[in-house]
Amino acid sequence: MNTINKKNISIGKIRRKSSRSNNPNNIDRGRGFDFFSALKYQPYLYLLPAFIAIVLISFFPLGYGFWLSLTNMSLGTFKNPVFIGIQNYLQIFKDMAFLKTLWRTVIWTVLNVTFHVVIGVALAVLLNRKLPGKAIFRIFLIIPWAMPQYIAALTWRGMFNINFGAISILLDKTGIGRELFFAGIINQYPIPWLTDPAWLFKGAIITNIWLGFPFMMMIVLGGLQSIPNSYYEAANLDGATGWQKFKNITVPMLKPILAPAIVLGVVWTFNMLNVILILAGSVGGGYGNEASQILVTEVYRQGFNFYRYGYASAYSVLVFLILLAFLISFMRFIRGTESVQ
Amino acid sequence: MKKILLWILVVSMIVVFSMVGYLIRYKTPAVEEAPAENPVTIKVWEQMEPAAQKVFDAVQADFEAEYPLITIKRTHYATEDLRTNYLNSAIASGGPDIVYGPSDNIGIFLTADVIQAVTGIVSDEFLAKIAANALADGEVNGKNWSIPDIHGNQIALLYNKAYVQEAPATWEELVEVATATQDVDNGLYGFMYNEKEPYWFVGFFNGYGGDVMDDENNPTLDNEAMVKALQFALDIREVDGVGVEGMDYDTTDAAFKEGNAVFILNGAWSWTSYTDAGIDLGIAPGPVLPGGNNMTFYASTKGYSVSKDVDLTDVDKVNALKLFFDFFVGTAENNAKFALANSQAPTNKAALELDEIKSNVLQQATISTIQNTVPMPIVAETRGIWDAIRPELEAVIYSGKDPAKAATAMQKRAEEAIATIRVKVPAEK
Amino acid sequence: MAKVVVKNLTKKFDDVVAVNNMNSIVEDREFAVLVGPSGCGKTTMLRMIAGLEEVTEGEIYIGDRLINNVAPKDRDIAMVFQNYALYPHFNVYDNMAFGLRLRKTPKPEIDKMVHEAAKILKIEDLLKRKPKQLSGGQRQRVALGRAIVRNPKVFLMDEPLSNLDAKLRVQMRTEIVKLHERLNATIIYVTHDQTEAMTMADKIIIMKNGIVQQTGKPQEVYDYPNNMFVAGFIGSPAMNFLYATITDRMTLKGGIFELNTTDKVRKIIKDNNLIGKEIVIGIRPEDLEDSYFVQNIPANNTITANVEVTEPMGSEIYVYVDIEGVLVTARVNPRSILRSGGKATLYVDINKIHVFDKNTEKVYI
Ligand SMILES: Nc1ncnc2c1ncn2[C@@H]1O[C@H](COP(=O)(O)OP(=O)(O)OP(=O)(O)O)[C@@H](O)[C@H]1O
Ligand SMILES: [Mg+2]
Repeated sequence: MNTINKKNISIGKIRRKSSRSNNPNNIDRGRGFDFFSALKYQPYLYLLPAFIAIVLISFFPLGYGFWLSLTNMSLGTFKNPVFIGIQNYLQIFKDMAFLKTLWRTVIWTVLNVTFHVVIGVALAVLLNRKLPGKAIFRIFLIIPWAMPQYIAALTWRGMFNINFGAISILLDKTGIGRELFFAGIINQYPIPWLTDPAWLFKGAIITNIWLGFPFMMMIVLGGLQSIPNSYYEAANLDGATGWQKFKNITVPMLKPILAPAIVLGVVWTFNMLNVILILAGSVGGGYGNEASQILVTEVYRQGFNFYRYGYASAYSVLVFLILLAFLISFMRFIRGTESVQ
Repeated sequence: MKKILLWILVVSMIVVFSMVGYLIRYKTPAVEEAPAENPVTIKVWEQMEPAAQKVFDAVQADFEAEYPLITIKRTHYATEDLRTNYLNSAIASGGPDIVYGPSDNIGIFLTADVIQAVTGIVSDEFLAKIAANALADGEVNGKNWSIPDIHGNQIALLYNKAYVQEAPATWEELVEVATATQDVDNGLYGFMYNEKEPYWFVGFFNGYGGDVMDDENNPTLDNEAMVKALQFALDIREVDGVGVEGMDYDTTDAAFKEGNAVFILNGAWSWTSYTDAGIDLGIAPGPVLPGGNNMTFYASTKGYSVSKDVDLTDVDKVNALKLFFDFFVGTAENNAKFALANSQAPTNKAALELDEIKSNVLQQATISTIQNTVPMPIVAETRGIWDAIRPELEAVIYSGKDPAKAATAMQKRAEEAIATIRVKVPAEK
Repeated sequence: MAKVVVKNLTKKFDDVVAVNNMNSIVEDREFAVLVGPSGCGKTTMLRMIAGLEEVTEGEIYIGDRLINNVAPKDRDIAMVFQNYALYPHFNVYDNMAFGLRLRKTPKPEIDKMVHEAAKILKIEDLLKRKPKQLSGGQRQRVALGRAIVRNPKVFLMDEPLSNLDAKLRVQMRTEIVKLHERLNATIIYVTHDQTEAMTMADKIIIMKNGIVQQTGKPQEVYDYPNNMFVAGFIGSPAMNFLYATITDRMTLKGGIFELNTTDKVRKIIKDNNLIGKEIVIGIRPEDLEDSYFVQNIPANNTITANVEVTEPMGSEIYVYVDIEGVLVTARVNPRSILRSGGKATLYVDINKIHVFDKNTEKVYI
């Protein structure tokens, strides 16, 4: 009855059996085919469907993408692409634009995620207090996230219009725009949000911050609500100020929730295609100036505008590796700052 | 106990797997088991407007009633999805027999070698039924790659008759009327257009005698015509004093709909939305440019292309496709239905003479403004052209870049982009 | 002086009255235990003293100072939370030092105080560990340590032992009592466990539904409960209650028993005009004995009933008998041969019985 117990599925046992050792304890020796001892692999059998699904869904596309990046697949070689080794990669690195775009992508990601976290945490802390009309505030604050990205970005584009946009009008009517200009904080006035690539990039960052903070806010709010109140009460008795409580209780207790949210945020933001493309008004095919592009828009441009599948795949592989490197070092960092659980 | 459970598990797995296997093995041939009458299925992938899809369904019903052995299976895709999925289906399988879309798909499909010339299916007599300028849009290397069913997409000068009764013939006249009429402080603009889109800009470039590519599809952007066109685009706001900074598609469209713009340049697809918005719409060809050249915008078609996978020796399939084209495009009444649903001109010559077309003001405006256009280039290289024009155009009109320098930069960009598009077997070096 | 005085204290959560017009005095250096069933308002009371809950009505004094509007940190109190509330990311040392650091205590002093407290609590080798690496008892000590280092005038403890297993609880009980002696501070200790209250307290404050039922030394409240609630709540096993009518002959008559009364009881019957009335008799289990072991029993001092269950405890036997549908507990001689299913004749020590009013549940004697 106990043929299938934990011992029988230890790796050591499997190895020993397959190498046909002379282990006298090997109960199978001398017997014919024993169906059930063959099923010492039984646990793997149970895992098989999930394993197949993962291979199909995750590893196959990854592997295929990597293979594509080593070919010259493009529109002209669509049906019979040829293996060209790492030529695509060499070409990417030969191009200074890659480094520039990478740098811009890093700025894009860091600024966005930083603001997402800071705004998200600040609002969550506010919403976690006793506040009249809290429910209404919460709904208003979630709207950016609930709104389809496409529509939100289009709306922002409208607001950024130099003449007709709400933002320009606001800056103009309040006189803030002029003040900023004379103070030297902005170098152009009125601000050509959509027509100057550098401003477009800034506008895209603002838009994406607006789009992304509710997610962090909701995550943090959930985290805050799971912190037992007694920690704060103990700190009150100890005489901690609001900031000391935030620093010594809230932040460390949020870390296990914030860390994966930040990871997600970084990946999403790094690969955020819509906002820049829509703001540049180039959804239907055209592209804005390079000076406002990030890596993933370049992948899109190469892949879906020029149909350079191999080259675009090489780009994607690089994006993947960059993100992977980030994730690994980020998780290390988090684990380093964390105590033994 | 455990053993029994295990047996049950194993046996049920075997049963399930063998059932799946059975289904896979015996289901597939069943589909192909053809009865003596040889029914044929035509698979169509299309990218049509909702109104056109409705027309398609109606025409399809008529068609299938007339040819009961032929079944049409239509699948709708959005623009980009259609391209991507169709390309992918060519290396995988399960693609359609016919793919319907804008003519600029042709260049891509042709380069990827996934469509075949329509002349393999339809006769010269059939092609003779179609307007020559429409047919020309789907022509590459002397062969027709699509059977166009609607023609248009051209940009024209639109004016609000509440402010002006007649279209100005020249740009100078337009500027005169526009500046006299406009009241910028109160949000009434004399002239607006989508100033950063190459599709509008090429109207000036073509007008000054330019052509984005030569016969070998090499870019020809660094020339006199480009410099003039860029200078013209720059001068619209800077010198002529019409237009407004930041005008793009949405702002132009919104301003005109709300009666806040006197003249705009916009494409045929938009015209009904203005009459629907209650604008007393006037339509005219683009005005004559300074120096005497006509603004010359592109016109393009949408049409049916035949998959490379269609086997020309499959007589039933080829016959069915012939009947399909005859019915959908070759029949004037049906072609007119599609034209009206799309607010574009029909391609069937007989359809152009039908009452419903002749009596339709917008149709007539479309047909007449098409006369001033040239076919939009459809080869894959065109994408590199747009990609090159756009940033340099923006640099000129927004940052004051020197037009001559911009033209040179454009040419360089286009050459680079096209080189990447043209990658062919064997491997690039 | 850290006397804690509560005057007319009331706390309402919307409609719920958690503490109702409470008046209590805890003397300086007294170990007061606030005891009562779940939901009776003990925690609320404690939190009001700590300043974690606003007072609805009434006054709280520590020493002579009215502290209703004093911030928690300035009340010179320390609180030990039921779940300890140790900061999970600080090690033991930092947990204990946190409050001192916030008060800008000089480093060497902090070090001294933390080590001193750790020594008292025998957690010196745990100082580097995080709370997650500690056992429940160890965490408990750290929580105490965190309170001790502050050197407050008043300690507030909310069921600090409820998360520990039975054995550890008993052990910690004595340790906390010893700690109290050593610290010389006022302690207000909340529990719903009457055994803890009895064993630890100098003074027991018994609450029910937000109202103080009785205050006094443990033995006092045990021997002289104010009402049926206190009588039933204090003592384990709990006091038995039986309905009876007072006869003309001044006996207490139930369905299957009739008990004589002492002179003291008779006087009360007369004073209160109770003849013919129904009352409740309270008999502690130890005041019932197997009549076999009692010499010279006067008439009408026994009750005979069916034995339902017996529980031999070694030093005694708990015998549960059914008297008119009430399960009555008796603690009898360990050599008793009473067995379930049989009949038992139980001797009642009528000198020790209590009499309660049936309606008001107040005690007559
Ligand atoms: N924040 C609150 N809001 C509303 N009602 C509350 C709140 N806190 C306590 N109560 C109510 O006040 C009453 C007293 O609660 P309290 O926590 O003081 O009881 P307790 O005696 O400590 O009980 P336990 O022994 O179970 O801890 C209960 O009825 C409880 O439901
Ligand atoms: Mg409590």
